[in-house]
Amino acid sequence: MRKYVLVLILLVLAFNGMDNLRELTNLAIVTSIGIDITEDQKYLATAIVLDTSSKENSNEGIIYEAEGNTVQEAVRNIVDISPKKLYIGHLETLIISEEIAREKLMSTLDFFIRDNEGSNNFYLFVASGSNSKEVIKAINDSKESMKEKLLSSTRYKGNCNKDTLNDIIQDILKPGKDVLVNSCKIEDKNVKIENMAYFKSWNMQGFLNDQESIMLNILNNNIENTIITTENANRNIVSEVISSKCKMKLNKETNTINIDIVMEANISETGKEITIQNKEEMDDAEILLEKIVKEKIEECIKKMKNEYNSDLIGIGNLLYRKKDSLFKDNDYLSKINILANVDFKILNQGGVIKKW
Amino acid sequence: MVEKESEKIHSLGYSFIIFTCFLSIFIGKGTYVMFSLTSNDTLICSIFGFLASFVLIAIISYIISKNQNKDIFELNKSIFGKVLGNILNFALWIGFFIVSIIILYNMADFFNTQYLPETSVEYLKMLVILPLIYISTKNLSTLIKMNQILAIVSLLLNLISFIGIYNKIDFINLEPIFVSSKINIIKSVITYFILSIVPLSILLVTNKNSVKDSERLNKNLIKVFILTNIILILIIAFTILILGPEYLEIFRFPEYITLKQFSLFNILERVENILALNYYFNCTGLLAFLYYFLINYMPQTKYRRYYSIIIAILQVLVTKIIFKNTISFIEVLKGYFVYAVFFFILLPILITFLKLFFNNIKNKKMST
Repeated sequence: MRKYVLVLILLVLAFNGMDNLRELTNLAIVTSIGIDITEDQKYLATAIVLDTSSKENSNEGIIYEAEGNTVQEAVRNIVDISPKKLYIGHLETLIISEEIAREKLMSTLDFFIRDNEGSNNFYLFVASGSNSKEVIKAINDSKESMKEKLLSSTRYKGNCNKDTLNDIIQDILKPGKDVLVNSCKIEDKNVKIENMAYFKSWNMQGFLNDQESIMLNILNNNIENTIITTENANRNIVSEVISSKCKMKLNKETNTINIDIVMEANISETGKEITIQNKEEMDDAEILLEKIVKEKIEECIKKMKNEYNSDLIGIGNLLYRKKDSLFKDNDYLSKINILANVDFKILNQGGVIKKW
Repeated sequence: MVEKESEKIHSLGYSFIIFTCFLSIFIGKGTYVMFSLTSNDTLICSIFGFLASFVLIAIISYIISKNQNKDIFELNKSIFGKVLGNILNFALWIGFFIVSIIILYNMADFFNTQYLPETSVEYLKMLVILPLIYISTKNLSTLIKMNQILAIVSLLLNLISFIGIYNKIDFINLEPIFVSSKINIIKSVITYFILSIVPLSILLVTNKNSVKDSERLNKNLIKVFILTNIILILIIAFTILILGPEYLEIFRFPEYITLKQFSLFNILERVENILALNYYFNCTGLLAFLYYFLINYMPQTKYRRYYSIIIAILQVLVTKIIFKNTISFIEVLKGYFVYAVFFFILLPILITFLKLFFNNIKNKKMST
């Protein structure tokens, strides 16, 4: 028996690590990658690698870039200039150029979906107005994490979402659902989170504006916090939405989708003529805010149906899930009626009695 | 014959054979076949399959209760005679060997795809086999104790996994229900039913007399059977509810991809590899019993101790010849695996059961 144990231990030691053995010190840990298409139609990969040799507590990494005929080739060619092979298991952000988003999204993402080291839990951005390489350099120069910026914007503004690559691929594969992807832009040498890019099938069509981004996030249940304003100088009410839930129900008989939105908010600012001291004033404010949100939602849906012609809230997916025959009609978006109903609840008026 | 156990086995430990073997035969294999047939309808199919497989546990319990002191090989020889008995035993041997190579290649494929893509699959097979050669030198009582420990660890890891991925579920992923064709739904239920025989037939590796508290055997078998099926159905449910029907279809190991979503209080993340240990534990448990089963049927000569090495070499060679790559393995898995289990395991056991059943009726008539 001892013989067996000895042989086993020797064999296990001999096989230890296999061909994939990579010590931690030999890993080039990548935090961000940018992918562009060059003029001669090659992929250009630009990566920020954590600088493990730096003794200072700095967030600055080392930037490597290389070209290749495929994403894999471009990323692998970095080995020629970096002493270590890239490790994308801790990738936080992937930036793609507009050109890739418009024409080559899935063929670019294929490499990342297949990669066994990563978990596809990183955030995808479309670089707006510049190429990914410039964005990557700006991220590195600003020494700020794009992930943190995105999470802050999602949490406090609501014009972007927390969808990771997993969520995006899941949405792309869903029948009757077009995706929204976050975008970023260089502004005064800083990288700014921009409004979302909208897609039809696998191709980007354009960028939304601020209000549309927020409204679509409300409709997709991706809102954590946002500001809703009545936009009336003296009778202005500014509310901070702290919770929003949206439910879509299909009425097959009337070909109607009823969208019920329940929002909870706190009053954070009021105009000169608004006091909100009693129940009636509170009810009036709620009705006013309900009306504002409803109008904005309806305007956004109208634009989505008529101008963008993209199903950004998954109307088709609802029809598909409910096995409605209308789903098979390519023009289902124009044939379905959408009714929005908003229930706006004010929870708190700021804990002050207005005397001014 | 194989060395007989000096100590008897406990009925609960014996019942836990079902747990590891059940999860091992389904995760990454049975569930993959079912997902490819019925996508999100797999959840409903697995519930129907579970209910149907009660028939199998009734059959196995019957065989165990009517056969006090023989394992399945001895039993077949005694009730069918040497020739027919040996044919049935050989069919079973082939069936278990097929299951063993499927499990072995699937494990090696999993490690290769997810962790060690640059490492040869042959090395990985060796890594899986080495501990098994050692385990196979032990007697059944030791195997059962080892299996019980692995099952408890696996159960705990499964429960932790459920807690960590619970907040990622989305019930809309269940819809649309019943979009798969009726034939595929029936095939999926039958797949669950047929594959359930593998873990249950492992129970026939010994006899009722070897069990210490045999009066509680049936109760424990049913309890562990229900618990195992609940865990398996929960794994299927979580996979569908988290990944959704379209996304889960693109992955070879959707259960593992689901584990990548694990997050406990936003503190504990990226621990899918630790949680995936239960896959290794379950497969090792099943392979250990399969080795025991395969060795048990082979002629008991002085070379018996080398049988495990012969089986290991056979496994490596056969898998190398049949499974050229992952695609050919998937083709075999989807196309032939369930049929092989049906013809080489379920059918012989059904024949044994029917013979025992009619013999019993005949004996009763004669005695009255």
